[in-house]
Amino acid sequence: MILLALIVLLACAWLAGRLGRRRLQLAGVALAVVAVFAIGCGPVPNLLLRGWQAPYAHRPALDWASGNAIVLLTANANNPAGGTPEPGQAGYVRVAETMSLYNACRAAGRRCTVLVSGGDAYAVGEPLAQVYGNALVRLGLPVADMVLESRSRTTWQNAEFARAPLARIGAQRVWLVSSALHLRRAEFAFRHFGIAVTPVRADYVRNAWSLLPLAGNLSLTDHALHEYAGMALYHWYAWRHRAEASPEAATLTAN
Amino acid sequence: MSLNVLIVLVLLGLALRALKWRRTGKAALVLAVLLFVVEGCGLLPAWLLGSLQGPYAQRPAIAWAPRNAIVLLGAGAQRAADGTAEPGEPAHSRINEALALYRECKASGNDCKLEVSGGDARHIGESEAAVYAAALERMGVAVADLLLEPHSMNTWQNAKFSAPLLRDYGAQRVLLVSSATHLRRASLYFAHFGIATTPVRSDWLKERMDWWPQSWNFAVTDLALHEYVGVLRYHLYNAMDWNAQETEPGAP
Repeated sequence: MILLALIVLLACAWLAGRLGRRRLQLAGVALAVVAVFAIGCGPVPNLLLRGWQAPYAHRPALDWASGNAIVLLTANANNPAGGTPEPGQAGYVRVAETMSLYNACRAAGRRCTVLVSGGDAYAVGEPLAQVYGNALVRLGLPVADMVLESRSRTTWQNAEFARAPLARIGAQRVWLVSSALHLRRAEFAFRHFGIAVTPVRADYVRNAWSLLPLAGNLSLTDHALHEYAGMALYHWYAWRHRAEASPEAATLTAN
Repeated sequence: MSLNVLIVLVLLGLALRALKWRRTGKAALVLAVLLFVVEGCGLLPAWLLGSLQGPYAQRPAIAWAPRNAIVLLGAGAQRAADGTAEPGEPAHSRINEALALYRECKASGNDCKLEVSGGDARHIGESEAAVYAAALERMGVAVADLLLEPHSMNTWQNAKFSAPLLRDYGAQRVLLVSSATHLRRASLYFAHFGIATTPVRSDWLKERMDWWPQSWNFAVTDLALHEYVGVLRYHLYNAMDWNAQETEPGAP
C-alpha cells in the first residue's frame, strides 16, 4: 500500500517534470524521500501503532466465570510443499496465548471451551480453524474442549458466525484472543453482533528505530494502515446493518 | 539492507548524471528500478527463501534416544506495558514447536531436557532463556527438565555456550529448534562446536507474489540476506582459520 503510494507520487512528479512544472516535480520527489525516511526510520509506524494498540497493552485480570469460552481468531496459514497446512508467521503467538489462557482457566478449576474461528481464507486446502486446532492439540489442548467455526473468511464473519457456537457452548464469559493491532477491529465486530467480549492480546508489535530506512518498518506501516482502513470499513458495515438483521442472523435463529 | 542498496543505486545514478556520465548514470537507475520490481514483487525473496528453507520443509520423524535434548534458540524478548518480560513475536513459533516436541518426547517415556538458549540481547534486564522458560513452565514443562543458557548474544554464542551444557547432560540426540530461515546457519555453528543436531523447523516464511511491490517482500529479503551473509562469513573465517581457536579445549 505504502510502496504503491510512493510509486504513484513519483510518477506524478515525473509527469510534472515532463509538463515543465519543475518546482512541482521537485516537491513530489522531496515528499517521497521524506516519506521513505519518516516511515522507514520508525516515527510513522510508531505513531500509527502506539495509540491503536494501547487499549490492549495490559492483559485483563483473569476473573473466570463458571463457564468460559476462549475465541481464537486465526491469522494466516502456510502450506509448504509435501506437508500439511500450518499456521503462518502471525499465528503462533495467538495459539500460544490461547493455550496459556486455557491452562490458566483449567488451573483455576473452571470450565473452558476454545472456539477456533476461520475458514480457508488463505487457500491452503483446509479451514484455518482446523489448521490452528491441530496446532493447539499438539500443545496439549483436549479435543473435547475445542469447537471449530470453519466458515468465516473475514474478521466481520468471525464475529457473525461465532454467535451460534457460542450459544451452544453457553459460556457466561467470552475471552477474545488476537494480536493487539487486530483487537480493536475484532472487538468492534463482536460487539456489533451483540457478543460482549473480554479482549486478550497476543502479540504487541513495535517499530524498530534506525538512522537508515528499514523494510520491516514499511511492512509494519502497511499492516497498521490495513487495520485503519478495515476499521473505517467496519464502521460503514455497522451503520448499514444497524437497522436490519443480516440474512445470516435470520437463518441462524431459524435453526 | 536492501532499501539501502536501492538508495545508494539511485544516488549513484543521479550523481553520475550530474557528472555528465549519462549512460552509466542511467544504467544505475535502471538497475535500481529492476531490483525494486524483482524484489518487491516476490521473485528475489522466493528464490532466496526457497534455497534457505528448502532442506527443512519437512519435519523429520524422530527416533527418541534414552537421553534427548531439545534446543530452543532465542528470538528476542520485550517488556510489556505492565513491566513483565515476554517473548518477542517471532519467538512463539519456536516455543510452540519446542513444547510440542517435548510433549512427544515425554510421551515416549525417555529422558527429555529442553534447553533454552538466549541472553539479554535486547537489554531488557532479563535473559531470553529466563523469559521463555517461564512461558514454557506455564504451558506445562517441568522445571527440572529445563536447562537454561542465559548468556549468548547471537547464534554463534548460542552454539558455543550450549555445547558444554549438552555434553554435561550427555545428550544422545539433540534436536535444534528454530525458524526454517535460521536453521542452516544455526546447525552449521552447532556442528562447529562439535554438536551434531537434528534440525527441526518452527515457522516457514513465505514471500508475497504480487503485481506491484510489497513492503513485506523487502523485509523478508533482508532477513534472508542476513542469513546468507552469516553463512558466507563463517566459511570465509574458516578459510582464514579465524574460527579455529574457538574449538580449543577450555574455551567457554
